Amino acid sequence: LETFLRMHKIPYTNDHTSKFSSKGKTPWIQYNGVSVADSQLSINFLRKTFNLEDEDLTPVEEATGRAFQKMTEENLYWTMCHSLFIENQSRVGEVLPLYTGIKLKILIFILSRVLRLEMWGHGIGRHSSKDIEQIGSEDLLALSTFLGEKKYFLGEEPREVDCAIFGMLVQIAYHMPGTPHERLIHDKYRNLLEYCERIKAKYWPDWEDRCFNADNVTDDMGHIYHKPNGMAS
Amino acid sequence: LETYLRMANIPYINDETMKKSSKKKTPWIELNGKCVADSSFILEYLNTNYCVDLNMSLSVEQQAIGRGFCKMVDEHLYWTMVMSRWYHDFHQRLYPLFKRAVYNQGWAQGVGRHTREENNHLMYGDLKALSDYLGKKRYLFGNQPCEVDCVVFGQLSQFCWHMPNLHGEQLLHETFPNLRDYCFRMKKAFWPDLGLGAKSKCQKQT
Repeated sequence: LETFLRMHKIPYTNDHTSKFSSKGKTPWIQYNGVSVADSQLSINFLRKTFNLEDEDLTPVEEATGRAFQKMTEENLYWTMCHSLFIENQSRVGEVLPLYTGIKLKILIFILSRVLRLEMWGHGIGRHSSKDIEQIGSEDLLALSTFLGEKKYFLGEEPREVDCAIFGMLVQIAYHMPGTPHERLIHDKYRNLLEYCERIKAKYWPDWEDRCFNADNVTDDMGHIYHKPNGMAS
Repeated sequence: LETYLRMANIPYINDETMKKSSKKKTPWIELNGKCVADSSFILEYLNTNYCVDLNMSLSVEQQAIGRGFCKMVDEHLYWTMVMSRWYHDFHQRLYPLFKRAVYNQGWAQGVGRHTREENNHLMYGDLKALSDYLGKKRYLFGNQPCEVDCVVFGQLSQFCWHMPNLHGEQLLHETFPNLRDYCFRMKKAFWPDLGLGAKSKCQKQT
């Protein structure tokens, strides 16, 4: 969602207070007092509100983009949650530096319980870990095959679907240490990694500053979170 | 799944005793004493066992696209259909507990958190994508049906024949007639016996 905002040069501020939307999820946006939940619905709202031009795609390209987007958001996403928060929880602390010690243990406990329930309801959680890993790897294969040597998913220009897919792949590339997904994207599906680097360079030139170099994070309510000592950059 | 079995000419018998699999879902199969659950894994298992590849004529890129569409219909369109049929447009007052159970599953998955209008909008988006990709072709990837068609047909057939008076049915028949024609084409090719003697089929012994 943030990548979409940056792509269309819509100024925005992040709310780091961890509030959930009316649907109990994130992300959500608020514009002139109106709240919109769900990333896709938010994007549709922004397109209408800011009169953004329609993308110049053929119906087949649009259809293909949608299929891959849904596959990533509704299938690959769950395999990622499983890998990081359920299967091997030993490195969760690295990606949630504001939680340490007992706070981290409690958070992991609650997160993994909630995710297990959600995945059971969805259906994918009923498979064995090995099967879930295989599903994730086949999804990555499909993404890598379709991207091929193209610069972006649907050609030379980045589109809305790139925002969605980048949003997921970037988690795998930089935010899931020790998971099979991370190994796959770094070893086997390098074109996906290069794709992430490309979009990061184009729309997130301040990535390093925002993620690593600030000594603390100030949210918009004025709360300040200090980086714990010795945190690796 | 059954369409795949028919397409690959693998003989099968339906078990109509409503038993659930080890993963508490359907469909599942039993072959020579071994049980396999979940349609994707079943397809892989049968492909290996019977040396079948119904996607053989597809390029690797088309196979990747096919996977995208399969996941879109199985993991997204499916849920919009479930929420429409059993929650948003479910007018029976006798089954509030059932409605609650469906809502809880939909909530967990994510799609269930949307309003009826949003659900319909998502359903429209998925059907439009399928319709645009199919275009004027006979099947999704040309003149020959493949494994992807089995999966997509499996879901679309629900919209075509099993959602009476619901928004999904209206979308398929009125807004996306090429999808409706596709359903009839698949039915004619692989299910010429559908609709005949439904009652006698229910009485069939396993």
